[in-house]
Amino acid sequence: MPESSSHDDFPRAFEAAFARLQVVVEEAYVSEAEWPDQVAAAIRAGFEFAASDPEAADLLTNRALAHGSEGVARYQRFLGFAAGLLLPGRKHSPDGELLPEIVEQSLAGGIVMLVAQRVDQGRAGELPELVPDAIQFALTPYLGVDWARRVASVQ
Amino acid sequence: MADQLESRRDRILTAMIRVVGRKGYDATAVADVIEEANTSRTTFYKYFEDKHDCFLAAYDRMVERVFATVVAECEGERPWLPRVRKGLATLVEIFSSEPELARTALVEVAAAGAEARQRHWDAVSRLTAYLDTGRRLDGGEELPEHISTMAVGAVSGLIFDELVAGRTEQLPELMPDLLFAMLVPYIGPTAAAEEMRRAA
Repeated sequence: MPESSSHDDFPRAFEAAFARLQVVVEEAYVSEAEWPDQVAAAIRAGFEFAASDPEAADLLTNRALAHGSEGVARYQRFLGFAAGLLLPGRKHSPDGELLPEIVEQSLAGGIVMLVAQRVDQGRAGELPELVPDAIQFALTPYLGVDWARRVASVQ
Repeated sequence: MADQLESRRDRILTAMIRVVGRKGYDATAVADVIEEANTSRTTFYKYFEDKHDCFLAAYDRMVERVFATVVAECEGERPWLPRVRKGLATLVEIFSSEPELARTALVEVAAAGAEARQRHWDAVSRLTAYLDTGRRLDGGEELPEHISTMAVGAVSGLIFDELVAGRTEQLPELMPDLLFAMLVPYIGPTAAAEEMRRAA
């Protein structure tokens, strides 16, 4: 059956979870000097956040999407935050001018969907193992398959 | 008689998909589905315990129909790349021509509870496996399974954005971008951009 939920509590709970996630992801991102390493660190921090606090990850993904247009708007703001971390990759990409506008949004959507799926299935503990795959996925449009795989393999 | 009974059940399932796509899962009542199916409350409860039970059955049937259509359209497309192109184009065609189905499949399913979402995840996994099959036939190097899942998630997310923005009918115009998002993890940005250019 659909989960019961309090619509009153959701906005506050979502914003609290989002703020905590932003702190850990941004700290990880700025701890590295080069953009590919910044993205790798941010993805690792995000996946570890979800693995250690699946309730918060569920709020940011599955429960947000279950809260109608208001929840969807919050979810899309969360994706926008993730997409913003990828945007500098265009400057590092030899193919930057070839990339369509939707790249960052699509990458963020693909990665977040993997997290949502694992959390929804009670398998959030597996997420840290999936970090190299997510890094490769995020970097490939900017660096190409081989370079992205090399970056992912050292993580 | 058996055919007639089946058709009544099918009518209710079709009505459920349409009404949920139009009104949203939470706002949909059994009465709405009964009216849309032009049937009776007695008939509804003959087949289903409640709205949720009916929705799950409707979702299963919808996934089977969409998947069967994609497989039928891709039949004969043995190489991986044409299969992905055709499969994606078929999905986009289905979603753009049936906006209510599209919203139910990708947007409203999230509100229908854990069992419904599990069906959605199963459908994503099935589609991912199907599209990956051609890649193996090509003899290409296999990507990690999770990257294929994220590629399907990327495409699904872009379609989701169009649906919630009320631009379902314009989905075919997004096809070049969707193709890029689907292909780039496999073939890299240069080749994916070339495919995108061809599709424009």
